[in-house]
Amino acid sequence: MQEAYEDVNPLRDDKAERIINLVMLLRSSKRGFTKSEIFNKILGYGADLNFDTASTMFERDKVELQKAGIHVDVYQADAYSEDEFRYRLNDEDALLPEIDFTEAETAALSIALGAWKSTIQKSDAVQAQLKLEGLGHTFTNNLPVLEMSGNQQLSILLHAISIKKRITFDYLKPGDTEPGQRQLEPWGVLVRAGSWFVYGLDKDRNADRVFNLNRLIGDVKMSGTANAYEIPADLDYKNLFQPHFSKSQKTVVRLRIGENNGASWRGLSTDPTALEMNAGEFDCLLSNLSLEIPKLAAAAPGVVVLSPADIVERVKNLVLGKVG
Amino acid sequence: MSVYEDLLNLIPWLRTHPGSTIPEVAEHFGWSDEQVVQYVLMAGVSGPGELHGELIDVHLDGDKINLVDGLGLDRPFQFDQVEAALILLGLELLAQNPQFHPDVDRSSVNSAATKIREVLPRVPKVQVIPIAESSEGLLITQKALQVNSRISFTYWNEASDLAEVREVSPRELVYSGGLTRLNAWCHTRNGWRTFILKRMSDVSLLDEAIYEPDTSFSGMEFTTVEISVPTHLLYQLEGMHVVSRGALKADGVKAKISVLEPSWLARQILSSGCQIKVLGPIRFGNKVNDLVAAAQKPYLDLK
Repeated sequence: MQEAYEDVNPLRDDKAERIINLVMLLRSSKRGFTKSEIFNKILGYGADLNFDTASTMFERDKVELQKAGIHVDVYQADAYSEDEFRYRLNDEDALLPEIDFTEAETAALSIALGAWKSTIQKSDAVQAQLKLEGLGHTFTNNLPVLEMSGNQQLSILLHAISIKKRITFDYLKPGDTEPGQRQLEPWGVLVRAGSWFVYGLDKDRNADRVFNLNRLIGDVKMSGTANAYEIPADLDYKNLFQPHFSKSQKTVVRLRIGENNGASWRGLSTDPTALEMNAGEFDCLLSNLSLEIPKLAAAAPGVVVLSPADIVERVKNLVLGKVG
Repeated sequence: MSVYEDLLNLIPWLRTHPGSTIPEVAEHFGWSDEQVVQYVLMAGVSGPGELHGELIDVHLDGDKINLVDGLGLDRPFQFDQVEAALILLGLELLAQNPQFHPDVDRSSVNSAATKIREVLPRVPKVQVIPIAESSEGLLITQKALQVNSRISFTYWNEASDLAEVREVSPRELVYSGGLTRLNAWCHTRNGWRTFILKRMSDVSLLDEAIYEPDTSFSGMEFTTVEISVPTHLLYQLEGMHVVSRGALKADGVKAKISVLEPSWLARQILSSGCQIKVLGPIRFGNKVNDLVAAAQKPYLDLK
C-alpha cells in the first residue's frame, strides 16, 4: 500500500501554500509580524516581487481569509512609525472554541445542516458541518424532510452586512418592464416561504425598504468603504415587512368564467351566490392589480376579463404577447 | 471549497480521529485517496518556518495518517458569516416546524442555537419569517401518519382552479420551497401524488387503514424543458423548479426546468405576456403552444 501512495505527485497550488503558511505564521506569535517580516518568511510573497506588489497580494489574501471567517488582527506597535503595523491571528478569536452539544442538540444540528442539501449553499453547509466535526461531533446525513431554498446572493449580502458596506443592484419592481439601479445600506436578510429578502436603508429614497432577491437583475455589488453606516439596534423586521404585503385599493373587474373553472375568482365575486354557480359572468373585487393581471392572463381561456376596458387591454396584451 | 480551507479542516479532524486511514478520510471528506495523500504531503511542509518544530508534523504510515504535531491547530477556524447563517436559519426553521421531526425536542433546538450564537464574534442578521398554515389540516394529517389511516380533503387544483375531494393514504410530510407538502398515494387518481398543505381544506381522518402499494414513492414524472426568459422576467424563475441556468446575457437567460403538466407552463407563458419561450423538447413545446393558442382565442374574439 505504501508503494501505491508513493507514486502520488505533490499538489502544486501556490496560493493555497502561501495562505496556509500565512495562517500558521500569523498564529505563531502573539506579537505578530510586520509586512516586511511576513514577506521574508513566506515564500509565496516572493523575493522577486517588489514590496508594493507583495503588499497588494497580501491585502487580497486577508480579504479572502476574512470571507472564510478568519479575521487578521492588525495593530500599530509603534505609534510613531507607520511601518510598525503588525499582523497576527489570535487563536481565541480565530479558532472555534470547544462547544459541548447534547445528543438532542446534535440531532437538531444534523437536521438544520441537512436542510441545505439541495441548495446552492450546500458546500457552505458541508463546510460548517466539517468544522463542527473537527471539534469531535458526529452528525447523521439522512434525507431531509425539511428543506430550505438557497440564494446565490446570500454570501455577498452577509459579507456586506457584517462589514457595513453599501451595496448597489439592479431591481425590477412589480409592474415595471425595466430595472432601476438601487443603492442600499443593508441591515439584514429574511427568508419567507422560500423567498429571500434584503432590507435596509434605500439611499435614493432615504427610507427603509425590503427587496425581494428574485427581482434582482444581475449581481449585487459592494461599494464604498467598510463601516460606512450603523445598523439600527432595535429593528423590528416585522414592521418593515408588513407594508411590503399590504393590500392596495380594490377594483371591480367583470369576469366571464367557464364551466368547471375559476373557483378562486368566483370567491372574490360581489355576488354571495357565485360559489354555488358554475359558468357565468361575475363582478369580482381585486386588489394589487399588478399581481392579479398576470394571474388573469394565466387563467385564460377558463376566465376572461370583460371590463373595465383598461384592465381588459392589459390582460389581452399579455395573453396575445403584445407587451414590451 | 478552497485547498487551504480543506487543509484547515483536515488537521483538527485528524486530531479528533487519530489512526484514520486514507480511505476513511477520503470517504468522510468526499475526496479521492490521491487527494488525501496530496493534502497530507502539503500539510507536512506547511508552517510558520522551515525548521523542525516550525512545520506541521504529519506523515503516512502505510495507509494510516499520523498527526504528531498540528502546531496548535487543534480546533477548526471560526464560522464565516454564511456558515453561521445557515446553521442558525436551519435551526430556526426546525423550531418553527416541529411537526416534521417530533422526535427532536424544541428546547434542544433553541439551546443548540444559543450555543452557536455564543461562539460567534458577529451573529449574522438573518431570520426566517414563519408562515401561518392550516393547523387543523396539519394536525389531522399528522394523526393519520401516526395511526396509519387514510384521510380525505378538498384540494384546490391550480390547473382547473377547481376544488375537488380526494382520498389518500399519507406517506410523509415534507417542507420544501417554503411550503409544507404531503406525499401520499391518491386513491382518487390511483397513483402517487404530492399535495401542498395550504391547498387542502376540510381534512378528515378516515377509518380505513393506509394502502401500501408495491411501488415506492417516486413522485410524479417530470419533463425537463428548456426555456428562454427575458431579463425583466427573471423573477418568474422563482416559481419554477430550475434544473440548470445559463449565464445572463443581454436578452435574458436560457434555463432548463422540470415541468409536470404542459398546462402549468402554458400559464407561466401567458402571465409573462408570451415572452417566455419554450425551446425544447419539440413535442412538449407543441402541447404548450396549443394551450396558449386556446387561451388567446377568446381575447381575439372580444369586440
